[in-house]
Amino acid sequence: MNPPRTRVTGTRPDVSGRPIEEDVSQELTFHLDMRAQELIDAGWDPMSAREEARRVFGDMKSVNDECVEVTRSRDRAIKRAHRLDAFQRDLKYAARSLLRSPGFAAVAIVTLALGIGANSAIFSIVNTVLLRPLPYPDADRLVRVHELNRRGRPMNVPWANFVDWREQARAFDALGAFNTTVTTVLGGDRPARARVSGVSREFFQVFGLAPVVGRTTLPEEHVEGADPSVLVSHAFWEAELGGTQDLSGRTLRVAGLNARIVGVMPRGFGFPSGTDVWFPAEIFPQTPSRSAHNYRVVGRIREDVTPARARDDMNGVAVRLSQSYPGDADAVGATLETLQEELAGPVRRPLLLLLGAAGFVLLVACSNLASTLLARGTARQRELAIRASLGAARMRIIRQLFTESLLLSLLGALAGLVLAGIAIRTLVVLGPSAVPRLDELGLDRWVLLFTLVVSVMTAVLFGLFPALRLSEAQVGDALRSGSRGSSDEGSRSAWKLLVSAEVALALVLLIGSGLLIRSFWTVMAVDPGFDPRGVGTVALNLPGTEYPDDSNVVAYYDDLLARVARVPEVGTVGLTTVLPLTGVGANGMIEVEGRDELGMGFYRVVSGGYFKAMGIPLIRGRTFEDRDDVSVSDVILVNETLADRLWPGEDALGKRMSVPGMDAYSDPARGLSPEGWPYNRLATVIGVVADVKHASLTGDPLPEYYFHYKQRPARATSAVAVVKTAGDPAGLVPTLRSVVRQVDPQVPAAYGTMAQYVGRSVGDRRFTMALLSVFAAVALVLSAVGIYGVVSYSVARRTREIGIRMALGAEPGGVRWVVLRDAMGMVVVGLALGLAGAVAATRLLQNLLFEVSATDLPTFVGVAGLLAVVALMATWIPVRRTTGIDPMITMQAE
Amino acid sequence: MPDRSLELLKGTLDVLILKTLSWGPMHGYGVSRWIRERTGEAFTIEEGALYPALRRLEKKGLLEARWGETDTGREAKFYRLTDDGRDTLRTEVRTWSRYVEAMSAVLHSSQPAG
Repeated sequence: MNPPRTRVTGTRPDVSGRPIEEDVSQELTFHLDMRAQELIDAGWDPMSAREEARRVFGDMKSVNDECVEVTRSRDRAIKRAHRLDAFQRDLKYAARSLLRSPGFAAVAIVTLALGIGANSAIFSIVNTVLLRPLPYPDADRLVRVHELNRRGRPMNVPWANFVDWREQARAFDALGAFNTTVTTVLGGDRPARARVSGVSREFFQVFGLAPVVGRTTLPEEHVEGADPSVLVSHAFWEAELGGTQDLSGRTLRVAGLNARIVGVMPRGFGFPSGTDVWFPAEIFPQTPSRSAHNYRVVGRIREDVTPARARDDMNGVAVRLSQSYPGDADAVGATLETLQEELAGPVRRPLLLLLGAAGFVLLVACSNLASTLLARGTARQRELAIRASLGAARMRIIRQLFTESLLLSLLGALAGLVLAGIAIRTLVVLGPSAVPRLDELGLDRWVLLFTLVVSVMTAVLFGLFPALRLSEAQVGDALRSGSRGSSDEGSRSAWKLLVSAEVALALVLLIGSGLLIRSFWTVMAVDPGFDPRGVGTVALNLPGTEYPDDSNVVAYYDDLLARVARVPEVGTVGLTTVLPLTGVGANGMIEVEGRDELGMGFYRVVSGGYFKAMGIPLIRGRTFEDRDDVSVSDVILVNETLADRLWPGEDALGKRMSVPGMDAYSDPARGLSPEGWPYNRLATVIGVVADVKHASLTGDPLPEYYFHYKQRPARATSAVAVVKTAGDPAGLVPTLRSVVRQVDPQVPAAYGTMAQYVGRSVGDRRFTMALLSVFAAVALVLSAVGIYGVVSYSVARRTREIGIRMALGAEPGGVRWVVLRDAMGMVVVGLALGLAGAVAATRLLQNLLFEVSATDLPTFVGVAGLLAVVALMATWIPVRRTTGIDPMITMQAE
Repeated sequence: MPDRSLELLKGTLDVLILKTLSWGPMHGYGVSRWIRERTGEAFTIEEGALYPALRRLEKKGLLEARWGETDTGREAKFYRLTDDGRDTLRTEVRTWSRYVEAMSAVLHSSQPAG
């Protein structure tokens, strides 16, 4: 049976035209009368006939009520159908009206697509990174646990403390410790550079994931000296093991072990940092020290425990530990944050900032459209007035105008989603590595819902005000005064406001992006302390099983460096364990000969050619030479920062120092330090080199010292060869690859250029800057289009006035000046508002800026000037047309 | 069995109404009288039950209602079958016929052979 609305369309809900109660009671009364009459005709007396008629009728009241109820519900259904019908009519009308002015519709849809698309794209990142739970069961209960140092900063956790935590903390289902490194893995289809993580017994329980093949490691495999067994990631399994279901007998050589592969984790799981191989951390002896902060800790909070209580529980345990081991433990407490917060932490602020900026772009788009709609509406005032005079209620007209806006907005949203889709695909490829989970990015239903909500809000924002204003037009006035609507003046002041708002919003965005661009330039102009031009890099990992001894390692590098140096294109070749801008590397205590207090510095192992290849200047003394090998006493290089810290005002050359606990080159004759570390051999400082930016271009230089690889080969099994060439270092890769293969095909290598590392180190900065700049550019174009539109329209509307003025002898220049002054008035108001807004808004940018103040005067003035020039141009083009106005023609036209 | 009246089966009233109105527009009392006479007063229904049924059919779009005048000049509410109503009646009649045939075949059959 058909639903009622298709049937009753067009009929009035109450067919009889009378109230429902009356309709029902009249009908029933008629029945009773007729029935009684029938009985009277059959010979009943009138009294009994009435009674009999009522008797056979049944319960009068309930029949009456039921009839009323059924009829009411029918009326409601009909009204609903009518409303839907009216909306469909409005929609059709709106579509026709848009099709009549396709140019306007296209510009409006593009404007909205830019505004809404920007928001959808950024929201999809925000949703993925900040809102969507991590892809683990009950991911909101996963936390990272840190120790806190005296200054309240989080630290990694010593193994010994972790073991006590695991026993004493009550708030967790499981706690897992892990550390991770990139190293060589043999035993797959080829030698692979892979991320390998040592994990504690309950690590996998924390995540609540089961392997897709095989099993996780057993508790008895997590004990010292156990037969090593490992799990591999899904990606590693597919790429290196051919995705075989049969793991029996498959082994990997990793971390100096021959390990059985017992399981494959599900696709997408690679915690931490894209791990390929997990091995039980317990198989190696762990230091009992409570200040060796070597492990990071994840935990799963019990279901019945709040994160706050878990934090208290953990902190209590940590405080007890620090009291129990006052000499050794250096943590004063512990804290935790959700795993999601931890992953998203560094990008949270830039992302929210970008979301705000996208909102601004949308606001500019809205003001732009609102003013265009007002202009169009004024032109349509006759049409609207006629509709009103034909009996359309004001509400009806508002609804119809608003439907047009809604249609535009939804079409804009659709186009915006297409743009967002493209943007997202680009971001996945180009996005900075620091934005986590970019691979999960996509237009999911939350993004679609967000886009729908935004587009409806947008329609309200840009459509409601013009609809209200235009429907106000007094019918009689509009018809009488010809094409010029009575609300023209009102509309004009509304336009001015909208144009000023657009200019103000665009200015805030432009200043924001201007500040980020200036910062970026400043960062790029920072002297990194090395010259990345023409420097290629080859990251090498010597498999411990193949290179068990120092002499093997030294021989390998000797051979490699010599062969690379013989390549004709290669100017200089060097070796380092820590490449600048890829991380700070290990640090530790420094003992200076003859002093009690310890210093601190960062540990690197290099070859002598490294400094020349990287263009790092030697300040004093000499760099390493071939003769600095194990046959002579240890030598060391320090950078300027370390030299200044250890020997301020003195010559560092010839001084002697050691790095207790940092490597295996101890001097047994010297015994143990008070902290229990074996003293290392003393090394003589032979040179001072210039500082290099290691952590980031924006950071302060670190105190660093360099050993020669021939004297510290055990610390150099992972190293990067740097190759200086006059040409393009990327072009050298095939040659370098064949050289590396010749020396030892078992050693996996990764090729890159120093320029890439520099670029990557500013990737996040570039990402934020680029997106904000795109938004600012869109806002600039939109507001220029907005100004142009409003001024053109106002010139067109005032043609008659201008014509009269000119007929009365006004100079075209004078007339132009009037229009120009009017337009620039709005722009100046907008600029003033924008500058004030920018002062408030750029404060949010403060910690994204580098050596540029949030209220940087040149940026503020320059950007405001740029916007003023663009606004002037957008005004001038339509104003120039006034020259062409012929007084006679314009006056006849009326 | 003169005293045993038939209980009206559920939904039957709707079919009866549709059938009655298939002869032409009629007011509620007319429908009720027609049903009473045609069924030989075999069905006992409370006459009032007819009216909610009429309005439900109207809501479903099977009937249309309009106030008009009777032959005697009284104002009455007339119901008329819509096209949908006519279609529904046809379907219902077919269903009923099949039902009755099937039941009759069973109830009037002789003892199965062997």
